[in-house]
Amino acid sequence: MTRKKKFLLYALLIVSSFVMFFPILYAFSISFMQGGEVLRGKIIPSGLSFTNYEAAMQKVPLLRYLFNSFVVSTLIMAGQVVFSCLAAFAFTFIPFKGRNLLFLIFISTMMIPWEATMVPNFQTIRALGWTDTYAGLSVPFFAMAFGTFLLRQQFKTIPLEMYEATQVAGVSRFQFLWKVVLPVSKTTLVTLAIYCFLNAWNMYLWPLLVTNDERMRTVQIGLKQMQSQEVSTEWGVVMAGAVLVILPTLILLFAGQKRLQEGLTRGAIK
Amino acid sequence: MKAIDVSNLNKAYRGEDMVLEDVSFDVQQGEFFVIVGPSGCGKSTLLRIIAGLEEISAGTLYMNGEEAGSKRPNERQISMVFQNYALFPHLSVRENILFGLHVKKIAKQQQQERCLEAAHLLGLDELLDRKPRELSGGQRQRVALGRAIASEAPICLMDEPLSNLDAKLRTKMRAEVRQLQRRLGMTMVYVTHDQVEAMTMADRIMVLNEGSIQQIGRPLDVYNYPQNLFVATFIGSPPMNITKTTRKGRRLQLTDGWTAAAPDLTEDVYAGVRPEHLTYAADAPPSFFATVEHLEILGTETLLMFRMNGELWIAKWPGQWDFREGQNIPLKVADDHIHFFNAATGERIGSRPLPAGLTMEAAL
Repeated sequence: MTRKKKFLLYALLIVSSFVMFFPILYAFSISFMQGGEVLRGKIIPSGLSFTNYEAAMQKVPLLRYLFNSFVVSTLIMAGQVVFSCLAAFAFTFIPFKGRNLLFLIFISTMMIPWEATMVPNFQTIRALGWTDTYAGLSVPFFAMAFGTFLLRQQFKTIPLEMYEATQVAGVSRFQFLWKVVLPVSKTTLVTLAIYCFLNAWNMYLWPLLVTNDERMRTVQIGLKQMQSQEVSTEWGVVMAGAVLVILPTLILLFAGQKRLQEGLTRGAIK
Repeated sequence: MKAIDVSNLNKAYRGEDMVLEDVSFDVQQGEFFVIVGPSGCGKSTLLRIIAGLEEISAGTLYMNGEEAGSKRPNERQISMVFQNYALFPHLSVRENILFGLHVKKIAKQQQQERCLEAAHLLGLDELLDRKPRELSGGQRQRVALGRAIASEAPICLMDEPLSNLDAKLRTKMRAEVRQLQRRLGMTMVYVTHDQVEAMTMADRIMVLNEGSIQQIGRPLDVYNYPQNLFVATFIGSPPMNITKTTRKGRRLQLTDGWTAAAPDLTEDVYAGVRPEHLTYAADAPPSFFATVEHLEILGTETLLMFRMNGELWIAKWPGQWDFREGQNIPLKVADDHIHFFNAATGERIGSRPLPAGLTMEAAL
C-alpha cells in the first residue's frame, strides 16, 4: 500500500470511529457539565467537577443497583452457559430417537418474542413467590435456544472419534464434556458468556416487572428513575449515572475483546 | 487361545440394509489379523462392533473367552487407534498418551513409567510436552500408537491408521507397527483398504466384500489360491488377469492356439493368470502371441499391456524390457499357473490351500 492510500484509509477510519463513538464521548462530556450548559448546546464542559457523579449516587442507591445488576447478570450468564452446554452436548453426542426434530422445535422457540412469554412467566414467578428475589430475576432466562445452537455448532466440529476414544478408555460422558469438549470450545464459551452478560446487564422490562423493592432493582431502572423523578431532567446527573453503568460492561468488553472477535469470526473463515 | 471369536454375526441399520451378513471368524491371541476390502464393504463397521461402538443385530461375539456383545467398550480390554488419530488438541503428548489411565485407578508413578516406556519405544521422548498441532503426521500417528501401548490392553484395534500418511512414511510405519506388535505380543485387528498393507503386515487376512467374507487365510495362501474372482482381482497389484474361456472337447481354449486341460465341470469357466506368470517365450514354444498395446518401464520392472479377448491384460516382468507398441511377441504361461473360476458363481475350481474355516492353530 502506498503512503497516500494508507493516509486516506486512516483518515477515513478516524472520522468514522469518531462518528460511531460520538454519543458516548458526548455523554461523558455532559456528565461534567453544570445546569444550563447542556441546554446551551456546549460540547466541552467548562470545568472538571464530579458534582454530577455525587448527585447521581445520592439521588438513587446506584451502588446497590450496580451490585444487583452484577449479581443478576452473573447468575444469568452462568445459568445460560451451563444449560446451553449440557443441552448442546446432548444434541451433539448422545444419539436418541427424534433428536433432530426436538432440536428443530427447540431452535424454533427463537422465533417467539420474549415479550409474548412475559405474562405467563410473570405469573409463574409470582406463584412461586419469587418476586423481589435474585432467582425471580434470573431463572426465567436460563434456557437459551441461541446459546444451545451456537455451542452445538461448535461441538459438531469435534470429531466423533474423540468421543469414541474416551468411550474405549472408559472415561464417562461428563468427564468427556469437562476434560475435552469444554477446553476445546473455550473461545466459543467465552464469547457466549460475554454475550449473555451484556444482554442481562441491559435488561429493563423484566426487572421492572418483578421488582417492587428498591433494594432489588437493577441499574437500568435506576437510570430511568433519574429521568422521571425530576420535573426538568438534570441531564448531567443522568449521564454521570450512565457512564457509571456502562463502565463494567466496557471493562468486560476490553478484557474479552480478543476472544470475542475470535469467536464471532470463527465460523466465517474456517 | 482365541482372543476374539465371532460367529454368524449380522449387522443391519434400521432393519433393512445388511451391512454385515453371516460373518464368522476368530482371531488368535498374539495374532496380527487384517481385515481388508474395498470402501463400503463393512470392515470399519465390523471393527466398531468388536470395539463396542456399534451394536450387533444378530450373532455372537466372544472376547478372551467371555461373551462380549453386551459389554461396554471399556469393559472389553481393548485399545483403539483411529484413522484421524483422535488426539486431543488441547493436551500435550504426555497427557494424550496417559488419557484415560486415571479412570483405571493406576498409580501416578506407574502412569508416568508407562508413558515414558511407550514414548521411548516410539521415539517420542523429546516431544512429550508438545501439543499435537506442533507434530508432523508421522509423529501424531506415533502418539496415537503410544496411547494404545500405554493402556496395555491385550487387544488393539486399528482403523486404517496409516491412510493419512504419505507413501514413504506409510512404508516406514508399516514396518514399525508390525515390529511393535511382535515385540509386545498384542493381538491386533487391523482394518485397511490397502491390499499391500494386508499382504505385508498380516499373519492372516480376511477379505471382505459387500458385507460378507470372501476368504480368510495367510497372505500367501490368499494370494496363491484366491477362493473366488473377487479375491483374485482385489489382492495383488496389478490384479490377476481374467478371461472367459470356450470349451473345445476335453480342453478349454483361452485364446487362439492356447488351450489348457479342462477342469471336471460342465459350466462356463473363467481363467485367471497373475501378471508375473506371463513370461516371455524366448526358446520354449509360446502359449500365445500378444500385440503390445502399451509399455510401462519402471526401472526395476516392466509392465506390458495387451488385449486378451477384448480385456486388458498386464504382464509384469522384472528388469527393463524394450518393445515397441504394436509389436507381436510370444508369451508363455505354465499350466499350473492358470486359475479357474466358475463363471456363474465366481468360486474357485480345484486346489485349495486349506479347508475353509480352518483356524490358525491348525494351519501352523
